Amino acid sequence: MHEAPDVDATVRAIESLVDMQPESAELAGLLMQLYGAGLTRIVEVIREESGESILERLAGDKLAASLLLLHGLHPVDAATRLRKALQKLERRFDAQRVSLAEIKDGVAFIRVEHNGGGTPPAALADMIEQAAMEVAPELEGIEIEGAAHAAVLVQIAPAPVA
Amino acid sequence: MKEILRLRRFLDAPVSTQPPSERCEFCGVAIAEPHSHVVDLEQRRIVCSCRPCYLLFQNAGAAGGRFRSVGDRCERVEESGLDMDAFEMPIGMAFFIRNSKSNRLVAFYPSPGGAMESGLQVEAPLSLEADIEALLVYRRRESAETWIVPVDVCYELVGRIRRRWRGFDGGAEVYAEIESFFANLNEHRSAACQI
Ligand SMILES: [Zn+2]
Repeated sequence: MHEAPDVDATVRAIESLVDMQPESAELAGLLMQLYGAGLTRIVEVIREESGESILERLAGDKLAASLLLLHGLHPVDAATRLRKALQKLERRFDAQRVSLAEIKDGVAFIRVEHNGGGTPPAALADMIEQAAMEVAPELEGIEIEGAAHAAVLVQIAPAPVA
Repeated sequence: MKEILRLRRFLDAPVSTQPPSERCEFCGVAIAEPHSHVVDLEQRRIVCSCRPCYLLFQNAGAAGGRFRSVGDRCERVEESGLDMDAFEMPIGMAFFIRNSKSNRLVAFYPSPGGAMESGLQVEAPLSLEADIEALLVYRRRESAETWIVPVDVCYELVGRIRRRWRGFDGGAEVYAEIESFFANLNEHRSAACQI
């Protein structure tokens, strides 16, 4: 297997190159569109061949998943990803129930219910934010109801330019 | 995973299909199409330039003689004085440039790879300004055209032919392109030479 590139470092390198030469943004865009179109075709073919298990594997691979996400091709929708992550998080607590109410206009509304005692709510809110950022970075914000960070809109990713 | 989404701004940015605006290779000022050209005699290439730099290099001795502005003569002539049957002209076209260093008339012809130099030794009675003017010949089955043009006109034509070239013999599109080029030349004369 290839050694995975450091995605964050690559993104920063691209950004600093574009800062130095603004006209190279167009080159970056053209190349990304080309590769994105190829990736879209690959996902289509995998689907046509009923390769859902292949897509699932790709979705579980950090590098592949991030590229699929970038091109809007992630095989699992944000709500499903977030629900799964919240369930995983919930298992770490005895007294809290964490659920996704809905995703509306890119903002996830998460509800925390307490059955007495347990982890301080502030820490819980941070953990929820972390988990959401990790699995659904395309969200524009998170609202947590029932924990300390309630009603704070967290900007976790720049909104795509219309 | 969040960092990669910052690349979205490149994906979402409108990509223009317009070529980036060109700059004068001497002074860096932005230049529009059409603009002037200067011949780099050392590297044997055509350099894009603004009008003031073009005027500067019209003087043969400027910059130690390395650069010379392309000619401004653009006229149709009756006869080239060359024995055209001696040339291999793949699509009926060739152009000739006098090289000031060797004082030889060098023949070129368009090809899918750009201008190809024919190794043939030729001589023409016509007087051509060395390096900056070209004798352009196009032979159709029933007629021919012979022109004295600035050298950049030939390179422009070669570029247009190259972009249209299909298959072994160039294909119909190449001939349509050539015909439109000469139609334009006949109609506008010197104006058409301002490429
Ligand atoms: Zn200039």
